[in-house]
Order: sequence, then C-alpha cells, then structure tokens
Amino acid sequence: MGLITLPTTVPWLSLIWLSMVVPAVVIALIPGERKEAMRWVGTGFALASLLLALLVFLAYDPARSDFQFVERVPWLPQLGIAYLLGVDGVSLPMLLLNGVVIFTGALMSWNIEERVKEYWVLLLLLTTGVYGVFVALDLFLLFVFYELAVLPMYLLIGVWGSTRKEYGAMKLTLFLMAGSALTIVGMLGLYFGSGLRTFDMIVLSRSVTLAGDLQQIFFLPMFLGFAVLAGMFPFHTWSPTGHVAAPTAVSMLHAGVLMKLGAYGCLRAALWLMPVGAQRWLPAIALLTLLNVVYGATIAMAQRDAKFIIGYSSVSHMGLVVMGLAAGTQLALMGAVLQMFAHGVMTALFFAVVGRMIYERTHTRQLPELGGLGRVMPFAAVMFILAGLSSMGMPGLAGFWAEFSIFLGVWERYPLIAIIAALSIPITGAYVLRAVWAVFYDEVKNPAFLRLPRLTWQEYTGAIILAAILVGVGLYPAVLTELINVGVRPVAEQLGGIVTAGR
Amino acid sequence: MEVFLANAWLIPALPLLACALITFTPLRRSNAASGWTAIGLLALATLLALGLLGATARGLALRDGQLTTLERGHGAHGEAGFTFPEPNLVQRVDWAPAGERVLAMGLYVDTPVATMLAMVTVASLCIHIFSLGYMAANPRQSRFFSFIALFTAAMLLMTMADNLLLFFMAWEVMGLCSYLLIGFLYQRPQAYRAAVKAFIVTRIGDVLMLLGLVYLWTLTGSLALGTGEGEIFNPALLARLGDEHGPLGLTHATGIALLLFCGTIGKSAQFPLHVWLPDAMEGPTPVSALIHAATMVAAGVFLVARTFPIFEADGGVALGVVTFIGAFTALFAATVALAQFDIKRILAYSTLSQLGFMVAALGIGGWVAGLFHLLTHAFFKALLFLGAGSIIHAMEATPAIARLHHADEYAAQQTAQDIRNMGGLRTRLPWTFWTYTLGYLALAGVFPLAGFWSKDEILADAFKGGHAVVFVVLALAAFLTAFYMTRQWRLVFFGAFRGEHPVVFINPEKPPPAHHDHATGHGASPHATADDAHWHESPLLVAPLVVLASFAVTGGLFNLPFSGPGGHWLSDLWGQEAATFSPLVAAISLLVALGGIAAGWVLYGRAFHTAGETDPLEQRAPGLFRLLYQQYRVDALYAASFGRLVALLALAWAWIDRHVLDGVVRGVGRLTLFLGRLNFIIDDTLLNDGPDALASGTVASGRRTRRLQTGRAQDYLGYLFGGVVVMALVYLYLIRP
Repeated sequence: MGLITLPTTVPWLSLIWLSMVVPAVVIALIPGERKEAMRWVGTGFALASLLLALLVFLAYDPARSDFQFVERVPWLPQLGIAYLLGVDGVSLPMLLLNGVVIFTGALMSWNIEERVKEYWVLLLLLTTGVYGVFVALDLFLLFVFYELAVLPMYLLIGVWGSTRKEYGAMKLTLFLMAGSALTIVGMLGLYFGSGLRTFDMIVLSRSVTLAGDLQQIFFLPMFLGFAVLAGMFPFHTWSPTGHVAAPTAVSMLHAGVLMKLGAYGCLRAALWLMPVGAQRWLPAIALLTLLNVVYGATIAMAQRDAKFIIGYSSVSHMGLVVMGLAAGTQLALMGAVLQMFAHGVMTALFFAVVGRMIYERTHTRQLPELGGLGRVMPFAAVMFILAGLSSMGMPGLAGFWAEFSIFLGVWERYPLIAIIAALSIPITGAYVLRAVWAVFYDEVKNPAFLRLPRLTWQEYTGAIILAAILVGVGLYPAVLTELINVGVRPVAEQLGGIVTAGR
Repeated sequence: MEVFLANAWLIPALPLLACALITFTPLRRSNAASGWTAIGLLALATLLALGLLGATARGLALRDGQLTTLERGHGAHGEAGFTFPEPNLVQRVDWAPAGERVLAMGLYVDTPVATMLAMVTVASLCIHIFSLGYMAANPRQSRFFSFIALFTAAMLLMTMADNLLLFFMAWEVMGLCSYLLIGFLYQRPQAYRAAVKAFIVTRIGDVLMLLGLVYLWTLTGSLALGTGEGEIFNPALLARLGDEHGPLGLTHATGIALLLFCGTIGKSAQFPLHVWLPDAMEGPTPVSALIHAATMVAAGVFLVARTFPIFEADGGVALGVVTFIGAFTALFAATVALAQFDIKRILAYSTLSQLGFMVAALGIGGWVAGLFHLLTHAFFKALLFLGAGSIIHAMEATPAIARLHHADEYAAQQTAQDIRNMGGLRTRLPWTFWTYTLGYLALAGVFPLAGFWSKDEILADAFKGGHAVVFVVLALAAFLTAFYMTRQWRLVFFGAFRGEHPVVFINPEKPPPAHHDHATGHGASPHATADDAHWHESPLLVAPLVVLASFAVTGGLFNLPFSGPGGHWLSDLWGQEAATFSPLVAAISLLVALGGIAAGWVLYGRAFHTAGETDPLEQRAPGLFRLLYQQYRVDALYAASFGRLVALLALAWAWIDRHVLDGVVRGVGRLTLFLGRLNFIIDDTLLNDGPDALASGTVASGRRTRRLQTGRAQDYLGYLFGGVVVMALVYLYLIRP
C-alpha cells in the first residue's frame, strides 16, 4: 500500500504532462504585455505538476515492484505503437525531481523581460517532453517525448542565453541529435531483431527475445545515444558550453533534469532491454566513465567562469552516475539513480545561485572579478556552500548517500575503478572551496557589489525548497532509496548483478 | 541510573539543539544569549554523560528495555590481547536499504565510550565558557557558538556511533566544523587558506577511510560494531578476514585496517598528512583547544582503538605500520617544535607529537595506555591552549601591539603570539601562570601529574613488549617535549618583559606602510615603558583554566599502575588487562623529563634579553635550526610536487577539452558542411533539372489556376454548376452501367 490511495479512474500520469501543455496554450493566448500574468500561470502550473507528481509518488505501492498507474491506449496498432504510460521506483524519483526543478526554475525565471511569452511557452514544452520521457513505457513514445524535450532547448539557449549562446545552442543541439540518431538505430534493432514488432518495453523486457549477438550489436548505439545526453566522455563537450550559455532556469533544467534523461534512457532502454549486450560492453564503459569522473573534476579546478566550474562538475558527477550504471549491481544502480536525483537538486541550486542571484546582479561570473559577495548576500553564500558540500559528498546531504552507494556498488565489480574514482572527492572539495573563496570571501573587488539589489521572494523560495530537499534526503535517504531499490532490482537481476555482501 | 542509559541519546542531541536554536531563532542576535544557551545545554549534556559513566562503571546495562548488570571480566590479568568490551547500551533503528540489506543506525555505549563522552563534554564545556569571554569582541560570536555546538554534537555522536558509517558521517561533520572554525576569521586570506588546506588534506585521508569501509562492507555486509552475529568484530568473521588474501598479497584485514588508518593519518595529523594542523592554528584559540588539541584530532586515535580487533586480526602487519607512523610522528614533530616561536604553533607540534605517542601506543598493543594518554592529554593540552589564549589576549592589549593593531590586525595577532615578545608574564598573569605551569609539567611528564602516568604507561608497554626502537624513539621524543616546553615556559613567564620592542611579524599579504612608525620599528618609544595597567585576567577566562588544571593534576589517579584503591581503575572499567608498573621505566621516564627541563632551563636562562636576539639553538646549529623552523619544508615539497602536478593536469586537460575534443567536434562539423556543399553541387548540377522542371511546371499551372479565382459570385456559381454537370455525367455514363 502506498501512503495514500488515489482513484484509479483518473489518468494521473497523463495529467502530469498535460499540466505543462495546458499552461503553454494559456500563456500563448495571454496578451503580450501582461507578463506578470504569464509568470503566475507558468509558475502555478509548475507547482501543480509538482504536486501531481508528489501525489503519485505518495500513492505508489513499493511492496509491489511492478509498474503502476499504467495507462494503455492503442495508438498505431499496425506498427505496434501504443500510448503506454506507467511508473516504477526508478521513474518516480525522476518525476519528482523534474517537478521540483521546473517549479524552482519557474521561480527563477521571473526576471526574464524579453519575449516573455515565447520563453514560457518553450520552457513548458521542454518540461512536457521531460515528464513524458519519465512516464513513457513505449519506446517510440519515449522517443517522441525525448525529441520534444531537446528541441525547445535550442531556442531557449539561442535567444535568451549568454556567453557565445549561438555556438553553445548549436553544439548542444547537434550533439543531442546525433545521440538520437544512434538511439533510433538501437530502437529499430530491437523492433525488428526481436521479431515482436512492438515498441512496448514491458513486452520487450519480459521476453528478451533479441538474440545475444544482436544485443551485443545494438546495445552500443542505444546506450551511447543516451549517454551523449548524460554527458559521457568523450561526448561531454556540449554540456559545459551549453550550461554556460543557457539562461538560469534552462541551465537548471538542463543539468538538473535533461542530463538525467540520458542516464534514465541508458538504464531503461539499454540495460533493461539488452542485458546480454550490457554484460559485453559495460566494463569498457566503466573505464570511460572513470575519465569522466576524474578528468571532469580536474578540469573544473582550472576554470575561471563559475558556470564552467559547475558545468564540469556536472560532467564529473554524471560520470559517477554512468559508472554506477556500468557496474550494474543492485547497490550501484540504486546509487546511480539516487545520484541522478541528488545531483539534479544540487546542480539546480548551484545554477540558481550563480546564474540568477549572482550573474543577474553583477553581470559577471569570472572568479577574479567577483569576491566578497558573502557580505552582500549571505543567503546566496550559504546556499552555494550547501550545494557544494553535497557535491563533495558531505554526510547529512543527499550527495553523500548517492556517492557512498555508488562506491559500494562499483567496488563489488571493479574495485580498482572505485579507488581511482575516489580521487575525485578531494579534487571536488578543492574546486568547490576555491570557488567559494573567490566568489564569497575574497575582498570585494568591485565597490558596486556593495549596493546590489536584494534577493526577491522567488529566489528565496526556490533556493530554500532545493536546499530543504538536499538536507531532507541527506538525513533520511530511505524516502527515496526504498523505492529506487525496488525499481532497479529487475535490471540488476537480469545483469546477474545481485552480489550479496558478506557472501 | 536507568535514566542515564535510556536517555543517552540526549548527550549529542542537546548540543545539536543548541546549534539549531542559535542558528535559526532570534537568539542569534544576542551574543551573550546564544553563548549561554550553548553552555546551558552542554552543561546538561555533561551531567548526563557523567551519569552515564557512573552507570556504566557499575556495570549497568540496558537490554531490551530491561536493566541488567554486566559481568565484567577483568581481562584476566596476564592474558595478552585486547577484548572488545561488552556494550551497556545498543539502540538501533533501520535507516536505509542498501541492496538486499538494510542499514541500521543507532547508538552503542560501552565503558570506553562513556569515558570519552565524559571527557569530551567536560573539555568542551570549559572551552565554551572560555569562549564567552575570549570571543566577546567578535561581532559574530553567536555564529561561533553555533559552530562549536555543532562540532561538539558531532564529536559526541561519533563517539557513540553503533556503526562505522555513522562514525564516518559524524567524523565528516567534524571536519566541516573544523573547516568553518579555522576559517572563522575569513577576512584573513591566511585563515581561509588554512581552512581549505585542513579540509582537503584531511579529506584525502577520509576518502581512503571511506574506501576501507566499502571494502569491509563488501566482505562482511555489515558495518555495525560489536562481536555478535552479523557484526564486524565477530570472531569467525575476523578470523576469515585475517586468513584470506586480497589484492597485493595482503590479507583482507591488513587492507581494511590500513585504509581505515589513513583516516587516522588525516584526522590525527600523522606524518605525512600532518601539514594541516600547524596551519589550523589560524583559527581562534578556543577552536585550537577544542578541536585541534582535545577532541577532533584525537578522534583518529579513537578510530584505531574502536576498530582495534580488525587491526589485530592480521597478526601484526597493520599494527606495525601504525607503530611506525606514530613513533615517527612523535619524534619528528617534537624536533620541529624546538625551533618555533609562535606559542600556538609550538603547542600544535606538541599535539602532533603526543598524538604520535597515542598512535604508537596502540600500535604496540598498548590499548589502555593509548586511550589513557588520549584522555589526560585532552585535558592538559586544552589547558595549555586556553592558557596561551589568555596570554595572547593580554599581549594584544600591550601598547606596542595595540598600535600595530590599527595598521594590520593580522600582523598584530601574529606578533602577540611570538614568544620572543613575551617574558616576565609570571607576575602579570598569575592565574594563567600557575595553571599553565601545571599543564606544562603534566605535558613534560613530571611526577605525579597526569601526563607522567599516561606517558609512563606507554613507555612501559613498549619496554615490556620488547619494542626497543619504539621505546628509545619515544623516550627521545619525551625528552624533547620536556625541553621545548621548558623553553617556551621560560621565555613566556620569566625574565624581563620584551614586548615594548617586539619582533614584528611581516604580513606578506599586506606589506607594512612605507613610513615606519615607531611602534613597528626597533626605535625606542618613550611612552611605552613598563605600563602594566593593561594586564588583566577575566574570571570567565580563569575559571575554565582552573577546572582543566585540576584534571591535569589528578588525571593520573584514574589509572594508577598499582593494585589497590584507585589502581587500574580505567583498565578494569574497560575490561582490559592492567598495566604492570615497572620502577625502571618510571625512573627513566622521570629522568628524561627532568633532564629535558634542566637542559631547557639552563640553555634559555640567559637567552633573549631583547626580542630580537638569536635563539641559542640557532647560534649553535644555524642550518639545522632553519630547517626545523621551516618545518622540514614539507609544505614546500608538497606544493612543488602534488600541488603543481594537479594544477598542471587541470590546465592540460582543460586545454585538451577545449582544443582537442572540441577540435574534433568542429572538424566533424566542417566535414559535414563540406559534404553538404559537395552534395549541393551534385544536386545542383545533376539532379536538379527534373525537380526544377517539375517545380516550374507546378508554379506555372498554379499561376493559371489562379486566374480562376475571380472573386465574383457568378463565376463561382458557374463553376459549381459545371462541376455538378460533370459529376452527373460521370455518374450516368461511367458508374451506373
């Protein structure tokens, strides 16, 4: 039994993504000069979607480890495509994460003054796509939503971005398109290779009919296609430039949720559907992610732009996620999903502080030009430090449990990789503390910084929500880990990954 | 008595509550109110901890809510080895699922834990009270109290942790508090740098310790303390860990123990990760006393003591490493302390050295001796630091330094900490003098003060166990300890006051103003002569000194190496084998201490008539003295090797990422553009004609069709009619037949 019971006649999951489409339409109809109304509508519906996700989260019954809230409507039955939604222990935390990030991201978007209508419409469409990916159980439907999430990003960055925004937007879009192309290959391989002529992932996973050698062929495009979006080395270079160029809310969604789409896709479409292929390729992938983790963290130390630091830290942390996936044991998978959640919240908080609170006021993110902001906005300093502590795995914050589980899980498979990856922890500490010092504690280098405008209530609310989640999950991780544990078990079992500790 | 056991959880909870109250309620606006809140709640926790110690001392235990009495085996005198004490209280709740298992969190209290709790609460309470006076001038005093309250909570929780993961979590929170408190005066670049250094260096150790936990978990599926089934000190399990071999030809037990010990090396600042502790003295003095002398740095020793069965399980390999590191650090740090002038830095190196004593004691199997020294050291070292704080406080008010204070606060403080600028403080700060003297004698190991007994026990264990090298090294370190402490004590409290013409610290961050005013130069200033009106000792500073001094005097009584009243009290309490008293070792130990004191007294008796003189040791061996003064240049070595390596890697990889990987990306982009252009040419010249013709045909027919759109209703009606006729004809002649 879940904590609450919801009537089963309501299509809850459809409501969640519809709650992003409706405001997009409404905002499109609001006259252009009523910006405030658009912001209220957008933020209000974002909150509504978060609450819906929360309801589903609470109503999910972790005792039954199957998909729940399943909606199935035939769509193109001739092609074996259905409108099939459902959630399990993996997608629920992601759903919740997306709700949190879109709501706080909406709060951080109130300062957008230029082309307000287009901005909100695109932002909401993007989120629609993300919600859709997390609830879709039909591979084709998943792909449709996935494309829906990627396309608005181009415009959002290209129009409202900063710092080489056209370059960043184009690079990002092309990379993600290339990823999609690879994914399609994998999808079609599954579709035809299995002989089932269906995109229904439940069916595809239940009877893994794809022959082992075909799996070995098609696992790679499928996994890599999604891994591009997760920022896996050497396909990560779009992510720091994209993060830096994007406007704040988009950076938050982008690093917070969009990169998780990639990892989610790897887990759901590649690992789950092609376990034999996974066993073949995962060791090599684990080795690559090692580069992600250490290399990304080291590069972050050499950056001067605060957003680049966060961008590369995302590369490093998402590397840990993919490393967890690559280890494939129950603990590692659980850690990976938890890290997706923890990193999403943490990085959203990072971007909210750097992109919104600081950059919008100081108009610079260069470490040598900032300094002394701790005296001007102590709240921002505390929030940044909190996010930083979570990113370096401080106990009591969400990141600790995620990293700890990943290390436990990876050690079970590849002890040496776990040891080398652990190097990144002190390096992470070094670059975070360096940024903290340069931004908040060094001398005030620009006297204008002493008269910066105060923080708005939207900024306070958004940051406090994110921080509260970091602390809450950090103190009592079981709110998520129980679900995730149930959710990843089928995948781990298929991979033969349940290594029971203690023998 | 039951109440103390049942409510043991309040001991860490109360300081945590204090932290929350001071941080989140309006209390934070009042420095005094926040200070007293922290002190009040901690005092309550102290009472509970003392009560808990009393309860455990009687052998009371709580099992499933039932009060029972433990049968305490007295460690069977003479039987070698360490027995993990039976718990008096275990409370566990399920916390988080971990794979197929569930991780439980909880409290685990046995007699060593209860003793530690009592020590930590008492020392922390004294330091809280001291801070009330010492930090009064700082506008962020309430923040200070919230940090040290959080720290105390974390330390207490770590002590009581029922599993190594919780232990590690609290340990990390302590590291965070240490970072926050070292950098408390963050306006000073030195302070912030020291804070970051402390954090990163200890974190290197912590990461390895975390890997140790991961290793242990993977093999045993548990991190819970205890000897029962499914707990990590289960004899069968330990035997397995000790027998099976892991990577590098080491047994699992060795691997795990060494990884865990890396945590100790970081936290207890053992060589080679000791470099953070001396710099940590940039923090306010109460912080140095609490975190960097009495409690947190001792946590590393406590970790080894706590996981001792694992260290023992491999037949001595891991303990050999522990002994080596400990003994080396004890001697190494003691030599550096010889050549320092900063009063806190001397104490910091002394702390390193004493921690080395404890670690070495554990390494040679002197479990009781190591822990006993930890307890006595906590009191007398906290006392010395607080005494130093009182001295610095008074020195900062002297005219020369007060004037310097206006120009450069940091330089003024560093100047105030320089023992060359002190002298003759015996009569000016009498309370501080007498308490400091007790602490000094205890540290030097003079009979019958606390340090004598605990250090003697370590030496006795080394002697008895046949560790001749360890014995000699530690005895030498003890000699040096007595020597450098006498040097410091003599220069601070005796002779004439030299502070009118101080050796001024040159702040590299802020070069002194070009015009040398008379306070900073060596020129005589007529109005700065012997004006003693500013010397004062406030009761808030003195009271904690007196309390701590009483422990420095009496601490040894808790574990006298004799049978009889008070004898072996701690070893009995902890259920361990009692140390045997060796008159020979005691005599050597006392001789060493007295020898060091005498040497120091003689050598420094006529030194430093003025602050600017050369140290007598430097006169005799200038090169060696410089090397020691620069702390063997370990910092410079690390900066030149690891520091530069990481920085270079960062720059190189960033370059690769921007230029090589992005270059590939751009290359692919160009290639695509080129192919596009190529395709266009092919398209344009070869394939275009057909579609072009088609397109122009479509356009032309469209143009023609457009003429039909006249906009006149008659025409449209006409078309309509025509259409109907055509359809009728089609129907009649084509479809119907």
